[in-house]
Amino acid sequence: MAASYAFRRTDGTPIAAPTFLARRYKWGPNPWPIAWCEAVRADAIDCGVFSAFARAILSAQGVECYSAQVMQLFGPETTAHWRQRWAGRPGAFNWIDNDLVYHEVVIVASGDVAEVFDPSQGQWLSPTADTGYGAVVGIRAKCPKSLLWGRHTLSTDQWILTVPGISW
Amino acid sequence: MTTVYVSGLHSGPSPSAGVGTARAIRAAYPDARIVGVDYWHGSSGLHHEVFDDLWLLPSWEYLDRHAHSKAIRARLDDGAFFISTLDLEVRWLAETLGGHERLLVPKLSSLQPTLKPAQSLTDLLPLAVPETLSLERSDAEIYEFCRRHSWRCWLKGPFHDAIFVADWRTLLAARDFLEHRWQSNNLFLQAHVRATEESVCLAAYEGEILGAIHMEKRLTTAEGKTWAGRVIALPDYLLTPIQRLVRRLGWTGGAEIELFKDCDAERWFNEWNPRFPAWIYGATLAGFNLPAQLIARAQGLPAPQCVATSDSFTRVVLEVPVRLEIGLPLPTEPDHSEVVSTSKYDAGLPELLHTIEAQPDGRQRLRAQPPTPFDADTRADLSAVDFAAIKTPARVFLPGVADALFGKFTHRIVKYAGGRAAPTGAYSIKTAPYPEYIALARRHGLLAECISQAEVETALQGGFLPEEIVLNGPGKWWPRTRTPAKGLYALFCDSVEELTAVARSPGLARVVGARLKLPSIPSRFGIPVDEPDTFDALVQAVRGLAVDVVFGIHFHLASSAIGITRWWDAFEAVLAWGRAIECASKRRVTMLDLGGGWHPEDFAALDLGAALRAAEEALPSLGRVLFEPGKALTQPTMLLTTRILEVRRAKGSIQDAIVDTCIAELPLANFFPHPIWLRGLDGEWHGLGRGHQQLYGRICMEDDRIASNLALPETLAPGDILLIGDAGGYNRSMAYEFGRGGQEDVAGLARAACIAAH
Repeated sequence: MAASYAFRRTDGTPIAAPTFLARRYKWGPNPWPIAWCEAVRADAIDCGVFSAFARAILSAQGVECYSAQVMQLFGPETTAHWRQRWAGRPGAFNWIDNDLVYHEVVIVASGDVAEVFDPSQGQWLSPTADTGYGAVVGIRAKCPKSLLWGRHTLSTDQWILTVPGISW
Repeated sequence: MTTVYVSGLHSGPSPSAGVGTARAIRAAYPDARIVGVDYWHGSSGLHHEVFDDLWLLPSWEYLDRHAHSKAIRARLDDGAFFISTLDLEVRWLAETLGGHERLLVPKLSSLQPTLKPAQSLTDLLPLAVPETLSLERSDAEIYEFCRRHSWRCWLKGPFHDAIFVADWRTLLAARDFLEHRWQSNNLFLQAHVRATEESVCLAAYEGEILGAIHMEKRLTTAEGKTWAGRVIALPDYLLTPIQRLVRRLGWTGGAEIELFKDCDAERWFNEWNPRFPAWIYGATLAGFNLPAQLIARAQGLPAPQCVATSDSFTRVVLEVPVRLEIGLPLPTEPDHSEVVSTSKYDAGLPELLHTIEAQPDGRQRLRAQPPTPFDADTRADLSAVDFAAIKTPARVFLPGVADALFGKFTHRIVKYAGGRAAPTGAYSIKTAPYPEYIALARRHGLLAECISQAEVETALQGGFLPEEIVLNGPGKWWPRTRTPAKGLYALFCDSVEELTAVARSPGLARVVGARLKLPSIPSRFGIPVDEPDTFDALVQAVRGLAVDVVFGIHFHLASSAIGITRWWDAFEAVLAWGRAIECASKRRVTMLDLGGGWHPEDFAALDLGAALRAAEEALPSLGRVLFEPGKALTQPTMLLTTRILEVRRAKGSIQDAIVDTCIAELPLANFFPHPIWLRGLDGEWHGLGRGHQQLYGRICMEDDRIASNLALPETLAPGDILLIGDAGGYNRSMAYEFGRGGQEDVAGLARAACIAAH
């Protein structure tokens, strides 16, 4: 399915992220746990499902990838609306703090370097985008080895703060 | 301290008005606290220094609208003002918070009459109104509208977007695009007005106009957005009726009335936007600060002074630093399947429209608008066909319909005879070079119009005499294996070279003439009369014609492609050029040949008498006018019958169906709308109306789509029989053999005789 959406082999890039996922599915709440057969039929999926889809696709292409979580800064004016949207959904994961949100992404390993792909938005996160709306202020990699992401060293299952003084 | 919330901060090539509105307020109130409101991280106006604070919200798709309205109300109750410059947000605010004294947008009752196309407003305004048509009407009506307006029409979205449509295929694509983008069928067509653009902008409070200006656009972007303009106070002849209208609407807030000024200086209404325009700060530079007047009036204060620095403004492109607390959106990964673009619609505005219009899942239901039932002639013809046993696909000839059509044409020709220029009818062999039509043409006394020696041969075999044949086209001597026929009725040359050669060959035809290529209407055919050297050569060639040869001119532009009004414009131009050729060559234009390309309805409505009178008036020696209706005589005389091969469903609903015909048998399927009827169990024919399903053909070509936007009944099943109208004319003569596996032409669909309802 991914190959037919993305045609990775036609442009010679070594790694082609499954950007089609963000067009194919809307981002929204879904119950957890969710079965694969339910997830692929859903109109809207949350970032956890996006991440699972992306990892499955990348792995099938032989790409070394791992799950990861980021903390992003959006501010209460935005998180209040998301909280409302997710409220009352049975089984929905609580991922929203006051300013910060918890977001599932994918780490693609290339040697000892990490690239971080956000399949919900269909874009690569930048290690330098640590200010502004949607800034990544923390990251936790579920990879079995240390990887470099910009000036940050990602260690297995440890939260790395990209901005000093952030806490949650 | 006054606090004003201003929404709509996108500041790209098609900007919202938030930045301009805020700058105008800042100019009058340097100490005001101005808060920018937007729903998209990428709106560049977020970074403008005019804003003291920002209220950046998630896109409308993820916004909790109830919570948002509560948050706005809390701010209003706290003494702040709110000015929206987003059309859809204005409407949403009017619905949810309308009437709050510090919400400076119109009430819902004020807005309703201004919703596009807002034609009821124009009863109160001294403005002409371009004709509009809802796209909920039938495809036949839509097609007629576009022809009538010479395929110069705009397809407009419910709140935003306008796409120029110049042919049926573009219209289908634009309709699909806008319906998909806005998830709405609330689209309409508007006739184009050849004009420059102007705007009226006003600020009003509870029906009282506070200020109004007139802006003449001087420079526009490729999207038609204002780039530079000149601003003056609104003249009284516009101000007085607009004051009356604003009072009647009880309007509060900004408004922009978009106008056209045509070549005769008449002004036309385009649309009413329920907010300040993006160039509003340009008006402030010209001494008219309407947003500040609105804020002042809402506070019961006198209007602030505003000093003009120029009566005109222009935009410049500036770079500004990005606010650290906002940052920039990350780039989207480029993809093969679509070109990534960003616009203010990225803020989820279609989602908001979807909510406002309260549509249930998916699009609204369309009104069916099925094609009209069969007339008596058609029913009589169809009664002779055994549809239960018919082998499909098959073309069904309607002899009664065809005979009536040819008869009406000759009746009209006879009706207008008696003047100096005698009208004569001609049948275009190329539209349907088949015995049944040639026999009809002969029986009704028409001439045969041919474009090749092969067609001449067909006409002769069909019983026409050489002196009943008109020869046209760029390849009229093909194939050269034959000795060209001589003694024809008329011969019209496509080039000066051909005319010169024909002049040296006496006896080819009694009438020899030239096909004219007009300036401003693109065509590969005819002699370009606006080229001085070519015109001189044409005149020399005409002078070289033998004295016993009658000279004529030929004009052939498909009215179905260029539209009715442009056809008449072109016709008048041909007469003027004919007169010019007469004057220069000293040879009289004695015959005029008016070529085909007529839609059947348009030809039926063509005022032959008016054409004859105009031609007689322009060309004093004109003795004959040939009318050649082209496809108008043949297109409606055949139907294509086809069976459903497969019905495809998704999520329990019918999506589309495959039929056993294809575009090889209906090559113009997507060039104009074709009415379609479904045969019921009772043998009755039921017209299929507008909907969201497609009919696809049987062959392996991506564009093998037989019909689009149909309402297929859920009961549709393989084997069901459909009849497709307007399958004669070029739909038959241009049919091709692709996809038949090299077998004999199935049911005579392509070139051989078809199944006839004899």
